Amino acid sequence: MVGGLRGSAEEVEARRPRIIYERLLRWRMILIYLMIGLCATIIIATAIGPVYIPPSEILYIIAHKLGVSSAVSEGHMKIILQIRLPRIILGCLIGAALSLAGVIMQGLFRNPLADPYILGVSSGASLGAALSTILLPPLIGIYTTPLAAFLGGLTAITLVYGVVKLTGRFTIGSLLLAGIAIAYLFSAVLSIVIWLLSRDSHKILVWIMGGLWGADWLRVKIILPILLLLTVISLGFSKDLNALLLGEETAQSLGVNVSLIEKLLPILASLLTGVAVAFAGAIGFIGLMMPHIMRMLVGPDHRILIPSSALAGGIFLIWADAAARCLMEIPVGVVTSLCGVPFFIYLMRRRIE
Amino acid sequence: MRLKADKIEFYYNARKILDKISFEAREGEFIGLIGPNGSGKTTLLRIINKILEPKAGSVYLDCKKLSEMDWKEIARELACVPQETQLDFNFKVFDIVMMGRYPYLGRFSLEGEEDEEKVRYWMRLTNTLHLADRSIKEISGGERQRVLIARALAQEPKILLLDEPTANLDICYQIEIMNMLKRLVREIGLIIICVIHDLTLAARYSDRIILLKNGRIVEMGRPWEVLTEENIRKVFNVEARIEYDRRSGSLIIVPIKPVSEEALSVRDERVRMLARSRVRERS
Repeated sequence: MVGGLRGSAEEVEARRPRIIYERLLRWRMILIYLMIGLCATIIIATAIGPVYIPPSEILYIIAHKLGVSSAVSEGHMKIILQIRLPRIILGCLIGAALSLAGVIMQGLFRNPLADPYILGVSSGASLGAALSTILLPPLIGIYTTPLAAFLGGLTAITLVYGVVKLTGRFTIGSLLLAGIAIAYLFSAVLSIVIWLLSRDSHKILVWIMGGLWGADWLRVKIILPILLLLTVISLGFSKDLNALLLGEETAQSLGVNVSLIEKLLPILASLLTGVAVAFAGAIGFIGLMMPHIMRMLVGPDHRILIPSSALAGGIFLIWADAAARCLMEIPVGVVTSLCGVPFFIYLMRRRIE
Repeated sequence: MRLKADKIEFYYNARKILDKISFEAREGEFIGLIGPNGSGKTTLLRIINKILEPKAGSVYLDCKKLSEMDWKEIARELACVPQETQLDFNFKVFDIVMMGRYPYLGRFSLEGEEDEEKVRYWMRLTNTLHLADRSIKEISGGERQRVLIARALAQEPKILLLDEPTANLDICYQIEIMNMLKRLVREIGLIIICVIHDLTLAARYSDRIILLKNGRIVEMGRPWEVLTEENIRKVFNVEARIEYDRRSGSLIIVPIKPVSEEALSVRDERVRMLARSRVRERS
């Protein structure tokens, strides 16, 4: 080889590792760590319960189920495969969906206080879901409730937009107030509906507080493909969301069709919330906390923020539900709210400062 | 590339903001847009950038109507540095400039090596490459403005719109940024349309100046044609002295005192006549 060790400035420049590859590597590592965290979470959370089943046995059971034969206890296998695992996987998917809805809404409103629960989308979705289970025969099979929840959520976010427009100025204050008002309205209507039609106050609790009691593999099968599809669609909008963080005007001059995504993204967020609420009621604050924590850890770029928030949301809801199971089966929404409210106050304080 | 605005009109509610604005800009031209507050400068920039739709008239890029082009297509021809850019989120400087490549990327594709080369090139030119790893929130105002200009240039536009790029900057940054913009106009034939409040700065850097008042073009032409004492009195209501500085080869505008309204209306007709005769003398 001919050539010295020293090169011109351009050559040195050219030899520098490219920033885009460094970034890609970093993103990959983040996702790998989160995946490992998720797997560990699933196994540990499955072990916890009224009957403790050691993680090693869980691995044996999963291996047995996958065809690698090993001797396992029949009773433990039933607990794991029919009770705990579906609930944990469902919790993971719902946490991911809510977290994604939060990322999208925070990006859309350029504000970290936005969240499907706070803006009333979850309440709307609960009302839709509850109405469909009480009133409607399953018109389109198992998708009736999710669809009704989606429509409820969409109605709620449309109303919030309407109220904000009515007050004239689009500020985060008016947005939050409108969201809270609409959330109350829908919760009230929901309570009346359930009280009048089914007289079952336990049901009210399920829809308003949120819980993962009815988990089974069927629900997992319904949510999984929808969630994957919606995640891919959200990723397709990640660059638009990034540009939007610099303001509408800059986004538009970067070639983003702002008026289109301002219509599309609320629909996407409502869909995600609807799917989650249809099967677990209105679990709050995940969409607020997870995107915010992940933004601090991985940065504001939505191409990494979207997948990592989804994974973190899954991990968080599994742990919250494990705590709920240990605390005499309280609704998991209570646990997330207990974590979320202090977090919300912390965020408000930071913004005021 | 040619930019043409043809009889643009714009209303906000019932109020007329812009009234039959027509002008053309050619390759390698630095156009200063001046006028008092509320004269429609920013509105005009927004219309050229398709952020606002004019009620009548249209903007043409070469022969294409702006209203018939899609957003990405426009973003490859025309970039904009608005007056205020929200920078509440912790992006790195490099990521911000890289956003300039978005108009060239598909929905699911990531930036490639070529994009990084281009971003590095523009960052070197705007003297921001050393800031690449810093957060956009922790750099100074002058640096931030250069980064935002680098972001706009990474779009590789033919036309660059700027809304008071030097507001809130100290004089060193002001001339640094203006010199850089002027060099781009000379060297790569960029068209720059720039809203400037500082009349001396406008006189020094603009090839042509458009003077707006109440949504109308009062005067358009070379700095010495537009920036006359009469025009400044008429448009800004300010008594000003204008001098020619030999060393910089440009005009210096020194505002003296405001003129009262009634005096102005009486004088209005005379001023216009005077202005016309001056232009005639020169040409």
